[in-house]
Amino acid sequence: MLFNSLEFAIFLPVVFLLYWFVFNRNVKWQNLFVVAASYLFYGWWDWRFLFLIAFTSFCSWGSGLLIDRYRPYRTAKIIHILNIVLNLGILALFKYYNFFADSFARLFLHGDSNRVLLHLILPVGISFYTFQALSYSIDVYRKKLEPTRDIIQFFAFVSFFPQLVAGPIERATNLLPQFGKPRTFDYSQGVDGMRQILWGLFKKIAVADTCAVYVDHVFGNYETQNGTTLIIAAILFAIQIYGDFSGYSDIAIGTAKLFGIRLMRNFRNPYFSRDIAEFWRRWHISLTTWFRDYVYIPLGGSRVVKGKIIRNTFIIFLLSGFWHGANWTFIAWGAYHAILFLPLILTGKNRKYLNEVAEGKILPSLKETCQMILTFALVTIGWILFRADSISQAGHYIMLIPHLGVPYTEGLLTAAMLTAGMFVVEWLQRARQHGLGLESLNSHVLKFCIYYIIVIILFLVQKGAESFIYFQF
Amino acid sequence: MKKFLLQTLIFFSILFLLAWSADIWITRQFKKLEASPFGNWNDIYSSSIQSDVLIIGSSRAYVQFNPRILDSVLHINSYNLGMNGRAVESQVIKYHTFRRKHNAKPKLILFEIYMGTLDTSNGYDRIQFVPYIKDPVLWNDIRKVDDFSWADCFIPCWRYSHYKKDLMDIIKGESYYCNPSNNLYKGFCDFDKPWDGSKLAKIDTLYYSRIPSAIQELDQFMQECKQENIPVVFVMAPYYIGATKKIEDLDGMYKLFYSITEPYQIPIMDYTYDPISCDTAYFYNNSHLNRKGATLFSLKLAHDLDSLHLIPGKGNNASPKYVRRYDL
Repeated sequence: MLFNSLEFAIFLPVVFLLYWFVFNRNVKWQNLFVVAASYLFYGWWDWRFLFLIAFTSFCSWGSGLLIDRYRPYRTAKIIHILNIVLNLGILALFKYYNFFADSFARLFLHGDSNRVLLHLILPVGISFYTFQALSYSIDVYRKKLEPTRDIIQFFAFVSFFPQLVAGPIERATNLLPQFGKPRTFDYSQGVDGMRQILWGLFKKIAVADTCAVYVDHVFGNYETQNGTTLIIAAILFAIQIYGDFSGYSDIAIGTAKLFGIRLMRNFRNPYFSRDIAEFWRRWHISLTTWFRDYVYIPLGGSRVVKGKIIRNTFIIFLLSGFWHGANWTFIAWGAYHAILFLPLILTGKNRKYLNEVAEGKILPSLKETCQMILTFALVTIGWILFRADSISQAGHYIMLIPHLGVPYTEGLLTAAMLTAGMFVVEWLQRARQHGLGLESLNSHVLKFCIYYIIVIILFLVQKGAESFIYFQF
Repeated sequence: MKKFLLQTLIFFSILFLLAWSADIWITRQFKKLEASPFGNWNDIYSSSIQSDVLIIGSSRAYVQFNPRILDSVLHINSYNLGMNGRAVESQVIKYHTFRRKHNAKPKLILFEIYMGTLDTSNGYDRIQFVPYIKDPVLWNDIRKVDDFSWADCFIPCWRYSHYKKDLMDIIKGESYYCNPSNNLYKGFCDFDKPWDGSKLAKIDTLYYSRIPSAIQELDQFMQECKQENIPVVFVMAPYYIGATKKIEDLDGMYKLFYSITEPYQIPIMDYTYDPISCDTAYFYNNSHLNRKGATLFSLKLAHDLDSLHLIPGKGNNASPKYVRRYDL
């Protein structure tokens, strides 16, 4: 079920009312209802893969209990490793098997990949819920979290529908305890949730989907386009992927707020970053911190010799790229960001910008503006790799850029206006959780006017329920 | 919680009212476009069509059968129900609406057929139905053959959300539908465009449609006309010969139409090899005649209908003997 579909517009209020008015007496019943609703939400796409989520959830839940039971013996470690292998094995089978089989066939079978390929459907959101389930067992193994005996609570944690298919990838330490205690409805949290949903819909439907029309046209016929058009399409893709994914995250976080659940923030205005390190602290935060906590730091992080810092940086960025999909383009995208990141970490400047840009000021300084533009430009080059079907296509695309000319303009003005609107609002609201954080605005009439203007824009620009880019990951 | 629910309710109630008002306004604006397919539907819904001869068909009927010429030559009252982008199922739905709304029972139906007649009805130019889908019978019929969703009928404004360009045109007070130079008259649209063969040049083979549900629909329609004692004549209007040559299994197409019409003894007037079909000066694309071609064809059709005594009540032969195919 897509957040931007009519089905969800019916599903959400029904689930909301049942959650607070029918199942609110008992936490267990409420959790059981969350699981049922979440499975319905996921099963709307393909019910067969519900067994996979249930299996993944059960294994992680069971391993948590067994790890606790057999601690401090070696058995606990074996169970822990087995659970990781099992989870990553399922992920590898569905997501990466064909990639490796195809690469193998190219090398050893003269490209005859039909003999080794499996015709598997990639389950929506498999990378997200696998990582979420893994975080639990790893935290239990590391004694950062007490294992839960309540299987329903755990299933609710893994399958909670707002973030099931595209994150944020929640940590068990944050989300699991919230399913262990009674929830009470908080008015201001509920209202803020609704606003965040509206803002997320704006970013997805108005900005991302509008940019997508231009981007799809240009990337689909890039050989025939001039350099100016290619530059504009790359910029619009950067905006599309941000609007799409951060829009999804806003809807997910806002929806969770309606159910009295607080999810972690996934984006903090990444395109207002002053360097690549800051960008990575603000982009897809839940995944970045997951890799930091469960891969980078166990490898020694940055508190090792320089050679190992370089190794660790490459490992984490290549893994991050590979997590997005089984394609060399994602790996190249990861490597590109590792190369951009390395000079900062090696010179100790990777934590230079921890505050908000132009804090307390309306406009950024000239230096900050230049830094933001440079960072955005570097990130956008990376997005060409990310969006292309192959590395050679990305290379060809970049090679064509110097051939400037009159740009293709169909749909450009609308995309530019909506993008400008989004960035202006996000700039003014950059210290807040999301663009529609209107707590300080006292006039209800004005607030309602803002909501209606957004709804009218959504009505005028929507093109049907377009899927989210990150569903494929 | 109460406060939250109340505010949410107020928000959505206002939104509903706004959308509902906008829906009414947009519907009115569309219906005002008299020189458009909406004008055609308006005539149907106002029960004002008093035609002797009714023309049914696709866009090929819409732009090729000129009632002005038929009326002046044959001294009859004809009306064109042709519709853009639509095959038989939609055409029959339009005819049923026409009958249901108590327009005069026609004395003859000219049914335009071609290779696309028996196609699925889920065609383009769906907007022609949209202002009228609040009619429950039409809604019930059209959603069976087209991909309308329940929201189109029940959520205010939703039905127009798929037609942004038309909507923006309406807001700006203009519409491509409403081009005065098209000279819309009794459902006929007069397109004065030059030949463009670029699409045809890219096509190697054309295939005729034979969707079983469409065949069944046509059969039911003929049965219905027989029961109501309304004679039907099928007209295979000119189709550019260069395109006809690209149709795979042309004989199969003829056989199919014969097999459908034979039990009802419905004649087919075939203009496939008429000289009009051989000259691009008469077409704006391979399947549509331009103003010049439509004028010539309508004149020819009127004379042929007259000479073949196919107009009931006119000439010597009030009930013409069944002829399978008139090669004209």
